[in-house]
Amino acid sequence: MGLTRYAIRRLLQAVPVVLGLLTVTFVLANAIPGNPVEVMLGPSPSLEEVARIEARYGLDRPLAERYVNYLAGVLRGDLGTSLYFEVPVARKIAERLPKTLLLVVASYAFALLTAIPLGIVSATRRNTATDHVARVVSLLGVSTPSFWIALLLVLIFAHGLGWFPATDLVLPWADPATVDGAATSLGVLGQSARHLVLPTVALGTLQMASIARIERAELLSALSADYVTHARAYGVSERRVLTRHAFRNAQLPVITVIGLQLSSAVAGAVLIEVVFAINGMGTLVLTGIYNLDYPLILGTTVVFGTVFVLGTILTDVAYAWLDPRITYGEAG
Amino acid sequence: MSEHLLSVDDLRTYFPTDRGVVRAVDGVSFDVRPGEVVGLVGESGAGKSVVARSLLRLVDDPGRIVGGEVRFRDRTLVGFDDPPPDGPDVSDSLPDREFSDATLSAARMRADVRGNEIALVFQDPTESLNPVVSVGAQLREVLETNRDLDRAAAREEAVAMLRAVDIPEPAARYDDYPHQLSRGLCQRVLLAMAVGCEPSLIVADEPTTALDVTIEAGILETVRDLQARYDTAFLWITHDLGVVADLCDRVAVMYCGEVVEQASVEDLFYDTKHPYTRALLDAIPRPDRTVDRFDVIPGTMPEAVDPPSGCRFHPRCPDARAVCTEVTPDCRVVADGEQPHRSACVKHDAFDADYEHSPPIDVADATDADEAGETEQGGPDDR
Amino acid sequence: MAGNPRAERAEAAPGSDSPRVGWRATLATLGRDRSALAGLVVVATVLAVATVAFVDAVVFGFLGEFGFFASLGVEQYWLAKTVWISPTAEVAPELLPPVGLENAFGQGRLAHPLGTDDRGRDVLLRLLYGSRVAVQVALVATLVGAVGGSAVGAVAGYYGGWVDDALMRGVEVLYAIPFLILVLALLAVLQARDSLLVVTATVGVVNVPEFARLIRSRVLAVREATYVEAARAAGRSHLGVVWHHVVPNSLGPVVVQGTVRVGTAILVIAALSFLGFGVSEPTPSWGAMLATARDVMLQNLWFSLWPGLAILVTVVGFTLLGDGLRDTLDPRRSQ
Repeated sequence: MGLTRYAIRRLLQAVPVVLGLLTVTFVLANAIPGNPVEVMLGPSPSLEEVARIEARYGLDRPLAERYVNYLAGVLRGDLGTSLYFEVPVARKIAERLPKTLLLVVASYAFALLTAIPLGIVSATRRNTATDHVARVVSLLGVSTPSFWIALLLVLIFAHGLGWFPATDLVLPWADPATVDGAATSLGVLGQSARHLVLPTVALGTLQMASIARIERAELLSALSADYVTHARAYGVSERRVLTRHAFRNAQLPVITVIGLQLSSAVAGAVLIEVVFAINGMGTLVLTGIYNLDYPLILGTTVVFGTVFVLGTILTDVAYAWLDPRITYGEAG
Repeated sequence: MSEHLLSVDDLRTYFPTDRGVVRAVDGVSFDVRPGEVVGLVGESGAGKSVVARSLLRLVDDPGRIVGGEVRFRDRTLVGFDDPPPDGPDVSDSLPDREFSDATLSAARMRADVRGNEIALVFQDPTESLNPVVSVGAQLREVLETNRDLDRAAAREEAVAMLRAVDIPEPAARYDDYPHQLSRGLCQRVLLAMAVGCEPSLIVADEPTTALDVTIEAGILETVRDLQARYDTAFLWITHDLGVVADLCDRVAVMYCGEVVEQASVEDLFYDTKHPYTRALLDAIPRPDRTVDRFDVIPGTMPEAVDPPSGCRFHPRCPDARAVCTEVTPDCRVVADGEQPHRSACVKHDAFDADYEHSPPIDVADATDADEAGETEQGGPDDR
Repeated sequence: MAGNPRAERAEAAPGSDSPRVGWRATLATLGRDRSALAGLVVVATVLAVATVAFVDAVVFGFLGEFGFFASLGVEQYWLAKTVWISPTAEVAPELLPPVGLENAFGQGRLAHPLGTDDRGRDVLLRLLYGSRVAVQVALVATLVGAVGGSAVGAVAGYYGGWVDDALMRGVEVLYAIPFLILVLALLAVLQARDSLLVVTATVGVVNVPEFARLIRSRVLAVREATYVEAARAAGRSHLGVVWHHVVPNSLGPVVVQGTVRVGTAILVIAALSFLGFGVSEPTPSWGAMLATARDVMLQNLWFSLWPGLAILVTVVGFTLLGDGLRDTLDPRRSQ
């Protein structure tokens, strides 16, 4: 079937899911009792005020019409106007998205770069002291609330030792004039890295621990597989056995887990942004929710969902790339 | 003796489990001469696969080889300096023993023996091949490792080997993945790997058990062909006496971790000297006879954790006597001839156990067989 | 066929059935596993504390509304008040450090072993009572998810066809929204920020996909199995056979999954209460305590430590127990 065809197929399959997502969020925001107008105007508004607001936001139209308008708007890139900020939702999201993406990508990179070696070491030195330590670390990693880790990191490394700043992220491409402590673009990069360390570790720890746990389990399983014994039986060096045979096969379930982790990564991002006062998508969603800003809530949920769906497609394609059984069906 | 290609002497491989130490291979001895086909027969669980793996020191943790000697030509693959532990106290834990100095190091095993001298063909072809690598690449890797070939030459040789084992369109099949090939073809790929390394001995662990009989016949044909061409010795592990009759020169029969009979294939079939072998042969249904019930061996083979006292087969043996519960017979020569015929049954004079005067004992009989289950048999004919 | 390969791979491979291990054997094997035992001890302790707290906070609080019981002296936090003080009593100086230490606000004292919070309430007591919220929501939500998910999965797996497709697509959409966002959004549109009930329900709903997948793959496997055909040929109804084979074989993995999910749910509850959802003052909750701790971090760092530790220990307990149970009840999956 080929990898490209598979990727395209997955993308097409994602369309109904995204559509479903849009529908569900629309229904949630619009079909549930509780008048958003009241929220904006306070209790017992006058009839004229209600009519004015409704007309302004198109809330007096029938539901079906609003749904169609909504979908059409989404296709155009128009996600409505935020009630709280009074600017287009799409613009607000565009402002806030980069920092969140930076955080999530950085934490994933951190997680993968630490978890895979950790899992390998654990599996190859099974039941030794190193393995036990690694397993304890992994267990703690999946059981500790990320926002608590964030708190502790800020306490120790920011307020205590002063090595890293306690708040906000700096985008690597920001204008040096807007960044404290940076005179040049290189300086900006440096500041960007400094700001990124603590939030990345806080968010990435859960990811790292999950991935390390399954990496270890899958490698152990792969190392006791028949085809590994077979390779050893033919004199293939232990090193090659590990890298060429065991490792590749073990990665398959790991990739699945990475995909499943996306959901908690996003949740974690929200929490980390709160602790570090980062004005990204997470705090945007919260602002919308605290203020019952329905267009904002809708818009951010849709964007989160779509990014998430794209992320899962990415992991599926990565999986298919590694596993020929997906792309090359039975030939008989 | 130096004329033997492979000689195994009192090999012991044990596995520690929750229920105690499983003595999977408990004192197995046999040998293979250059160019001959030796069969290793036994029911599932008798320890045959463990023997195969022990030869190449591929026993998986937590199992370990704890005693005995395996020599290949003039090299020691498995050897210990002190004699093996014995007696009932072994059952508690696995003795921790180091190999003797004469034993080949792991690196030497990998470089000199595994593959290039002794090649293993596993039972399940689909499990033995890495599902994410093409069969050709796996074959090429094995050839590169065991023969002095560079990548390009190994690739060419791989295609040639695929052709040699009668795989149609070998060049096209090279890039296929294991899941795209039938089991029969996969098994042929495993054969190609084994033969391609040009070993002196191929150990085949039930290579045709997972295949249906027509495919099996084709594989056996190919094996006979290869054997004639390359004069490779074979240790053919199976539970199918029919295949043994067809293919082997000599046979060793295993029961519960021990070898109970060893003879040339004619002697085994026509002059059986152990009740277990006799029972196995009798259990094979014959197309030319009509019977009311099959002659099954009553009871089931005990697990190797807590073997019966004395002779391990005595609870199921129709010839069992009291002395069988006391004496543990080793497998010794009971009849000389062109090939020595060994048996582990105290019936024979060689044991000097006064069998005739010992009272017979009650064992499981045929009526118990219905509840106890049958032993596995194969092969519709019997020579 | 549900089109999401990732989803399918995430399911347990419907291979051989897990052995039906008796309860005694399970406990025996568990007993030999030290870490699972440790998990069991932790879980039992937390459950005990939470139960007491539940009785004292919820049951007594409820009963105390009625004249009959009020006249007996029954009121919320009656037990705590009798033994010590109420977890909501703002009697002590604020932000005291643990006993034996000293900070800008004063000396630590034995009456408040772990110190006091920003409103002068005892930290230890609030910690103990905080377990109630976490455990209550986590248990109920996981149960809701397990039961609901199993039902959905069973129906989808058994009927197949468009029913299966529709249900699994629905489940997939649920999966497509990151769960925290979904929960927050639901809480927002339902305008129920402080409702523990709504939090429980939404976390429960979010748990549905996992269990639905699990049960569905079981049902599919059994449906296809040849022995079902054989049993049918022998005269038993199809549904009866499937039920008979699915239920005992699924109990194990569901219990394992459930135990681990309770741990995850506790983390979710903590996160939600950290963000200010689900509980309101003065109800004690670990997440909310951490939110306060953040604000006073520079003044009293000890306060940041205890709630986080409580969450950590509890989740570790459930995870270890779940892992231990997995070894006995679901040996096919090695994690």
